[in-house]
Amino acid sequence: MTKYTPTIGIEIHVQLNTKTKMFCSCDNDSRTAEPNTNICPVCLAYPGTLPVVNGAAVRSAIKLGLALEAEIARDTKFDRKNYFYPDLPKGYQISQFDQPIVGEGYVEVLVDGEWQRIGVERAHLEEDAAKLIHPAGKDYSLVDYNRGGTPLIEIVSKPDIHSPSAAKRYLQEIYNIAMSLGITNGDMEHGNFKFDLNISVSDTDELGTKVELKNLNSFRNAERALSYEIARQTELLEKGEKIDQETRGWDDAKSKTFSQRGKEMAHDYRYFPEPDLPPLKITDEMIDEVRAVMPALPREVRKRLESIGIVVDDQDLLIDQPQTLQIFDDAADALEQPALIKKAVNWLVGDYQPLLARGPSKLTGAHLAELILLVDSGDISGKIAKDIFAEVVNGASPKSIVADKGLKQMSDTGELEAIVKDVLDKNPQAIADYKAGKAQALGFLVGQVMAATRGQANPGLVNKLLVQYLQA
Amino acid sequence: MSKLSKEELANIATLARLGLSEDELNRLGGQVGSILEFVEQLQKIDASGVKQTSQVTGLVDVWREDEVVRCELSREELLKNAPATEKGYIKVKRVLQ
Ligand SMILES: [Zn+2]
Repeated sequence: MTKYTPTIGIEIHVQLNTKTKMFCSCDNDSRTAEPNTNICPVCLAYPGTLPVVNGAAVRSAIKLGLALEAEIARDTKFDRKNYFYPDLPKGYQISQFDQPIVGEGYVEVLVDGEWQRIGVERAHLEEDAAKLIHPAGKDYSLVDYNRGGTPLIEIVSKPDIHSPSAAKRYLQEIYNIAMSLGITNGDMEHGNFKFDLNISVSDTDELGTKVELKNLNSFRNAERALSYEIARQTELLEKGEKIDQETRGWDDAKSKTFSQRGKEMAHDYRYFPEPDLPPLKITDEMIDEVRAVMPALPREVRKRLESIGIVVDDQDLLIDQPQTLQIFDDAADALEQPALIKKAVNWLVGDYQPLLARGPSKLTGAHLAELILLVDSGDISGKIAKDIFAEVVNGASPKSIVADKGLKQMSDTGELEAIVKDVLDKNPQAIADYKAGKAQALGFLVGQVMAATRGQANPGLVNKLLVQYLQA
Repeated sequence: MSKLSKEELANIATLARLGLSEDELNRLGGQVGSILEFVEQLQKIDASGVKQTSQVTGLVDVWREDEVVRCELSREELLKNAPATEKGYIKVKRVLQ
């Protein structure tokens, strides 16, 4: 059987979370807005209006470019991409054609235990289209222009991806980068991060006929759709049939791709330079300004976590949850010792996750560090720490919970000795059993002392004291 | 270059969303062809020493700060020119989905 190699290229559209739209001063946040309430003559394409570039969107693009280790274009301009559709009021989309703001770059992703470099061809700024609604059973569609003009960055990968899992990793890495840069709200269900996947298979050095999977917004579905397509295309080729160059969609319910032909139109966008927007000159000063406020990137965070011995799965989780990572960083600063810092990771990837899934968390790094130190010093047992953790996640200070509830572990020998003696006096049978060689009698006595102290005794110390008395 | 073929003209009309009748297609082919010919004279100019530009205004770096300015016009006023609306949406002929 011939071995077919898949080749995958990805285009990602990231909606930017700037305050205003790409080319007008309308509010860019329409999450709770009524339809067509964040619109103006510019984003409705009234004749005679002029677009003006949003400087914050340009800075977001530079940030992303730096994170992708890419060349930032010193001369960049906008172009018109011409086509007719009701979600596009001007009859063209302002995009960037031959002078994108971000040039070639790359990301590094871990695929099946090996680091792979995946190239980025380019990234450019453009404006989003309006939202179309198609009421069931009606012969019309409805248009809400609130989204029209939202700044987008399109990131185009090189065809460097050769497996569905690598594609998923690439998508996640770009998503994590965009999130850590804070340039998008990243709400995938609401289209903040969408992608088109180009996939072909071939058993020669030449690329096969490519199929485009359009408009996906879930990492898992991207991986599934690609696996399905690779199998479908391979099967066709093995049967001696040919692949149609076409656009296909992903049907989640049926777990298969389906042809979207019929919608297909020959693409002839007739790009030309946008005459209403003067070109941009990106200076060293602008780039340096952006560089000065760059946050830590996923790969830097990964390196740091790696260096303190945190395993890859836990690294992934912390990178996927920027707030959890912040808690970790703050706790690690307070804890200093590697053994204690690892305990912070254990809490955050373990007990913390189900609590976080239940609702918003008020856990701070300072409180987590405090809890870990209380256990380390022997002031409370590990069990008490687990018992009070939910309250700590709700924002309470571990020290004050311990003080308020009297949970401090009894480690004072004098006080404990009295209780131990008392328990022994009340349980002569257990003493006899122990002396007769029944080891479990000791466990019973430890339990009695723990009960008498309402769980606050240090179990190790109780054990030691009991053995001393019993063997005396 | 001579006149535009009928197919070329029909394609341009489709892209520009113009509905041309058979008669118009026949008639305009020659006219559009001669406009193109006229513009083609520019190709004869030696521009080898001239830097390419897409702008003649001389402006660069025109941008604005990212501050929301609410539009003074109401939704009703802004949508007034739409042929049809429904519940604040603009109503259009159904498009495939
Ligand atoms: Zn606007």
